Amino acid sequence: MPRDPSDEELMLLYQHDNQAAGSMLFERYQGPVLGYLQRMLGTRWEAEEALQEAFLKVHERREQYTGRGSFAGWIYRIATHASLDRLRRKTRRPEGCVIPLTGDEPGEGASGGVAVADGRDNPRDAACAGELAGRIETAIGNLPPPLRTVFLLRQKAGLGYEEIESILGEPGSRLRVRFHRARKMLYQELKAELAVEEEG
Amino acid sequence: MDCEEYRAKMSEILEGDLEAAETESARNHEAGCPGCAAEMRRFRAMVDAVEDLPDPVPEDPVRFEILDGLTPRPEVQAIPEIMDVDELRKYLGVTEKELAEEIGNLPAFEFAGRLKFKKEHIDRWIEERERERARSIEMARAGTWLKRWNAG
Repeated sequence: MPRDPSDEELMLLYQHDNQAAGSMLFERYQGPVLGYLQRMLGTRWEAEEALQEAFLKVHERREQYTGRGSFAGWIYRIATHASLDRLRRKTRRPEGCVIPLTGDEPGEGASGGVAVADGRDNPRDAACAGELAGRIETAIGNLPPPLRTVFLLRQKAGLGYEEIESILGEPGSRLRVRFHRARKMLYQELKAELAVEEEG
Repeated sequence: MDCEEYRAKMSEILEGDLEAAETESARNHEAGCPGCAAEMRRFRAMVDAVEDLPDPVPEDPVRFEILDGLTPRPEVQAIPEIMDVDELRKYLGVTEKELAEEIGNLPAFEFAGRLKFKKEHIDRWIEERERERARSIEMARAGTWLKRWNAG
């Protein structure tokens, strides 16, 4: 039975300017990478911009991919650096729908600050409508960036600790601690919602 | 393991990040504590829900042809495993004359009356030359030192 070509096989062809292989790789990764960037940066437009930048880098540096690590690790490395650069440069300017961070009742988020839905297509807009997926997006957006990065790379992108170690240049033991802290913080914030889901 | 400890370590338990003894202790606790077992189900539901979060569709999909138009083609070309004389010359970055002078020393084979070079053997030949050079530098250094020592 024919199987789909692996990322690494497509990359080999892409390095020789095979357009079809390049397009297949882009199609495979642009949704997940855009999702990653959007969760890292908080707004859709910025994520779209960062996506274009990241894929341009992938294209320019395709000869540098040696095949030693996974292609996913390589592309998320580029996307991570693109998003961390942007996060370093910007200060968030909240406006729009206010969602409580830690309060049990809507509007009682004073102790933990606020998260914000700030524009169309923002994943956090959905939170205003009270959907579980939107609540999760909000909770992820509220994680401190160092925790959020590790959490998304591991839980959403499915990378191993070794790859995340090489992307972030930090020891695996520290990354594990961050990953678990992130999941615990999310759980604390989402627990009540999950209970409702379970019962109803 | 008690309830408090179990609930504090649900993430590690689920990920398999605990020592074997601790994992067993957690499993034992879970088996005898319906409250913690339910808590773990809820935790797992959260993890599943995160994994199931949909990815957005780019408004402006990235296309190979557009990127290719934006960037000049890098000069680096793939190097064939078996090279002809000209490919070898480019690989070594030497002139035709320089190559001609060394051709007798290079590992080569003939195919249909033409010289061919296996990249792997050329690389090995290069490494051998590097080692030879390092050895001769070492010898020269040792010679200088010996001369000084004898003189002094």
